[in-house]
Amino acid sequence: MTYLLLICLLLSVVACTSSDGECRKNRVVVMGVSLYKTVFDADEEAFVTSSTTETMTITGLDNDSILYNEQSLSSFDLPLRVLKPTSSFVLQRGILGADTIVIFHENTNNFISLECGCFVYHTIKETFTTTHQIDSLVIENTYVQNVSENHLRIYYHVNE
Amino acid sequence: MFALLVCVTGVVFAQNEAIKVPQDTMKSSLYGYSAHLDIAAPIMGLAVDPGVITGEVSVDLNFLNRFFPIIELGYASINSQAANGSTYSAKAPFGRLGVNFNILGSTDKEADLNLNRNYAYLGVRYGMSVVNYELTNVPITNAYWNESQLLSWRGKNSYAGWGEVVAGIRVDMVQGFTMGWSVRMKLFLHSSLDDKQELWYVPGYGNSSGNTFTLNYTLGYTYYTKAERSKLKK
Repeated sequence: MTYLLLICLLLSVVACTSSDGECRKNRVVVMGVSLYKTVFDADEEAFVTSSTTETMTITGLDNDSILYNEQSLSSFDLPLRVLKPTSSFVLQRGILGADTIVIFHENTNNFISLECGCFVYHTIKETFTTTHQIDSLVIENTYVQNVSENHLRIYYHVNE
Repeated sequence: MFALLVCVTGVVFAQNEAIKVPQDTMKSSLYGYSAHLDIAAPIMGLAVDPGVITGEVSVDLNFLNRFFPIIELGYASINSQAANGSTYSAKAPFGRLGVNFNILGSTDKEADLNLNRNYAYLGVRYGMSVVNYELTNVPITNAYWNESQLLSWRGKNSYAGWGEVVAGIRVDMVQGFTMGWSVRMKLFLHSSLDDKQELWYVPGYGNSSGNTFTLNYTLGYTYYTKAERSKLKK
C-alpha cells in the first residue's frame, strides 16, 4: 500500500501541472512561395527548369510597407489578408519591370484556444499574374496553415 | 502514464493470490455502497484557472469487494479572460458513469476475510456534459495588412463526451467513514460542435485541447450491508 501511495503522490504532481496562459503554438500563417526559372541547356539541347535565387523587392499592393527589400531570395513567405478573399503583391526582380500577382483565397477562422485566440487559415482558389517577367504561377499546395511549407511556385521567363 | 499503470497493476496482481471467499458469505454479491464528496475538485479547478468553480459527488456500489460501479455527478462554472481580451464563460452539470476494479483482492495471506476495507483500484469512466457557453472578443489580426476583427461564439446545449482511466485507493478511516484518492487521465471523445475547440473548457473534463490529468481526493461514508456488518463483528 505504501508504494501505491507514493505512486499516487507522484501522479498528483503530474496532475497538478496547469496551463500558464501562454500560447505555445506557431502563430505565423503565411503562404510559402518559391522561385523557378527555365534555361536552355546546350548539352541536353532542351529547356531545363530549376530553382533560382533572385534579388527581390516585394510589397503588398496598395501597402507602403516593404516585405522584402532587395534581398537575395529563392523562397519567401507572403501574408494573405484575413478579412478579404483577395491578396495582391508587387514583385520586382532586380532592376527589371515589376509584376503583380493576385491570390484569390477562402479564409477560415479557427479558434485554437483562449490563450492563442483565432487563427485564420486560407485555401487558395485561383491565382493571376502579370507577365512582364513572370511566365506563370503554379499552386503547389492550396491549404495555408500555421505550418512552414511551400504553396506557390513562380516561374520566370526564359533568360535571353 | 499507461506504462506506469500497467506496471502497478502487474506488481499488485503478482502479489495477490486468488480470492477465496467462504460460501456462507456469498448470500449477496452486494456488500455495501458509498457516497463521497470530492474535496480536491474545487482546488484542481482553481489550479487550472482562477475562474473555475467546480464540485462533484459520487456514489458507488460494492460487489464482492471486487467490482465498484460508480456514478459521479457535479456542476462547474467558468468565467475566464485571457491576456488578449478573449473571454470564455460556461456553466453546466456533468456526469460520469463507470466502474472501479479492486486490484488488491479481498483476502489476506491466510485466506481469511480481510476486514480492513482498504483497496487500490483501476477504473474507467464515460463522462458527459451539456454546456451553455459564450466565447467573446476573440481577436483576429494581421499586422502587415492592418486588419483586425473581434469574433464571438455562443452555444446552447452543446454537449461533449469523454473517457477516463482512473487509478486510486480507498481507505477505511473510522466508523464507516472512508476517504479516497485517485488520479485520472482524460481523453476528449466527441462533441456536438464541428470545432470542438470552441468548447475551450468543458465542465467535468477541463480544457478541451488534448489529454488532461486531474486529482481527486474524496471523503465520504460507506454503508455495509447487514451481512457484511455481521462479518465485521466476528
